[in-house]
Amino acid sequence: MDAASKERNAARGGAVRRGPVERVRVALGISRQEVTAILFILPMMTMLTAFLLIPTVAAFSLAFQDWAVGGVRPNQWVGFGNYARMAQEWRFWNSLRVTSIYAAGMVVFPYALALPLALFMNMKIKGRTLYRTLFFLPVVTPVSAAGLVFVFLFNTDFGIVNAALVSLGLIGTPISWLGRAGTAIPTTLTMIVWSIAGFNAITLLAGLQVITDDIVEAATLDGATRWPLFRYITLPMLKPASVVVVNFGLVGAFKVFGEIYVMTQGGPAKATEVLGLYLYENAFHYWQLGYATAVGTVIFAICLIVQAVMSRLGRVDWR
Amino acid sequence: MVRYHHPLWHRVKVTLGVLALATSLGVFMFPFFWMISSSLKTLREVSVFPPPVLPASPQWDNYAVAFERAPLMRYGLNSLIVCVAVILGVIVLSLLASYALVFLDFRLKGVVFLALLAPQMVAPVSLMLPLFMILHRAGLLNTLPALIIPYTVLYSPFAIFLLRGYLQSLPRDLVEAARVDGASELWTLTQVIAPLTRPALATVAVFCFIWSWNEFLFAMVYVQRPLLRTISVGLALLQSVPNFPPQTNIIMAAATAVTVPVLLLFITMQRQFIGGMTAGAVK
Repeated sequence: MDAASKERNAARGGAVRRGPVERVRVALGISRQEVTAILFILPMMTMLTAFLLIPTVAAFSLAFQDWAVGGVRPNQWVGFGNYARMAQEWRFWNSLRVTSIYAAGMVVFPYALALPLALFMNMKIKGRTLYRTLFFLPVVTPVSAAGLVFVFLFNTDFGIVNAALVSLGLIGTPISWLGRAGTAIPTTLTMIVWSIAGFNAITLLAGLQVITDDIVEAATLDGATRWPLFRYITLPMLKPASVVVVNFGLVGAFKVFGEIYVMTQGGPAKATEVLGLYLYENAFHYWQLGYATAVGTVIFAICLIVQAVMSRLGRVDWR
Repeated sequence: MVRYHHPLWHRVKVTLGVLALATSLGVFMFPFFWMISSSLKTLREVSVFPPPVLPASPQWDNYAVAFERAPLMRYGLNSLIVCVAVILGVIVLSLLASYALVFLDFRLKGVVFLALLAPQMVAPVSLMLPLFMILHRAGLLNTLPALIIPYTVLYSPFAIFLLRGYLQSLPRDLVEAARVDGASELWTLTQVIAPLTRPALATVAVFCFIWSWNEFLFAMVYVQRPLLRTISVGLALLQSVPNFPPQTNIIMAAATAVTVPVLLLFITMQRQFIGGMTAGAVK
């Protein structure tokens, strides 16, 4: 507590009437503002503790138990048994591999699309707000609606994609986009890229708008030409936004669920089964809640590591 | 400012840029066009190869059929209740907390701030089962609060981040003056600060609405009673509604009906939304 607020407390006559609560407060050396602050933050902290902290800690203990719902025997402690099982399940490794493919795709393709879009939108052209709004529409589209539309677009028999490709002569016979292992990932990824590229473009555009005309002018006067201008001004200035976007894609892959659930349910032959779906299947199809929780802790850990690494990268000077 | 470019080259560049933008815009908007166009086609028009681009005559009846055969209004009402409750909950919780973070002096402020933001780091999938247990124990599964509570908890950190930034831009004198006048902090918050924070609160509200409306995973797992489903899940599970015609044109009509409200809301509030979304990115 600083001296000024101490004085203020004294001036208000804090010493005149002191209830028991007040006496405890003074004895503990807590200022009045601190009491108010505790009361203001308490509701949020209570919610976080009750519905996030406690369940998560409790879940960590569940990850070391064998708990099958409806089973006759009570939960059993299995130590690292769930993790040992995970290491042996091909479906776990498969979903980890599939999730990594999505993660790579969700970083590379949306970025490759969004950077030129952001650069174009940064040119002083008419209707920039309109472009910005329209490119953002897929981001706010309900995932179930988007999934249903893309299933229809890529439908084997009646889909417009096959129709267009056949009529252009690019393919001879219609392709079963979501029915074949080789095309199911690219197809679902297309929908995911469609739904996040707008976010990337807007974020990068916000980063570009930090670069004012003054900066460009100063650099130009110093003799910088097009490429150095991009390399030493634009790219470094884009760094914070790029870190946000890359992080969004990487962590996003571990959040993917609805997109796959609606489009392929993880098929064909688990080719699109991401970690989120694998967890869901174990929990609500096989009712292996202990095992599924253990999978959840792995997702939790990977996301924390990714974000720690990304926030480190955010601080590294790229030049 | 001085431009060291040839004016013709500049024109070519801008023209190319606009062309590229327009092309990619067409590709990005196509799924919406196809959804709406297909929702107005006859069953024959969505099951021929190749499909016609536009319906011969728009079949508005498809919408009537979709609403008649599936309780879409009910789903929408459920979603609306969840959205409104989440908006109120998030605003109350995060306004109180961010006021304390900005205008009150207390120890360990940095730690408290980080603790409040920490939930943002967690992937919802890994929270799904822990929350399932606690909601089960509290007897809340298959009720709307089973969605309202998790959403409120998960969306508040972002709101705190946003509101804290906004409150920091307000003059501190406002609060100091009220304090000198002997006003309580709660009075200052509700009577002086909250009205000034309205733009930021609008941003928070739009975010909460769109996220709650679109959320899929929790909504599917925590609420399984057919009539309590939210709209995003109800749409994905249309096929499981008894007597629902499994026809693409009807499904596209339902998808359009679910998507349009949220797109309209976004378009009217896009300035707040995009401003809020990029606030964290450029700092």
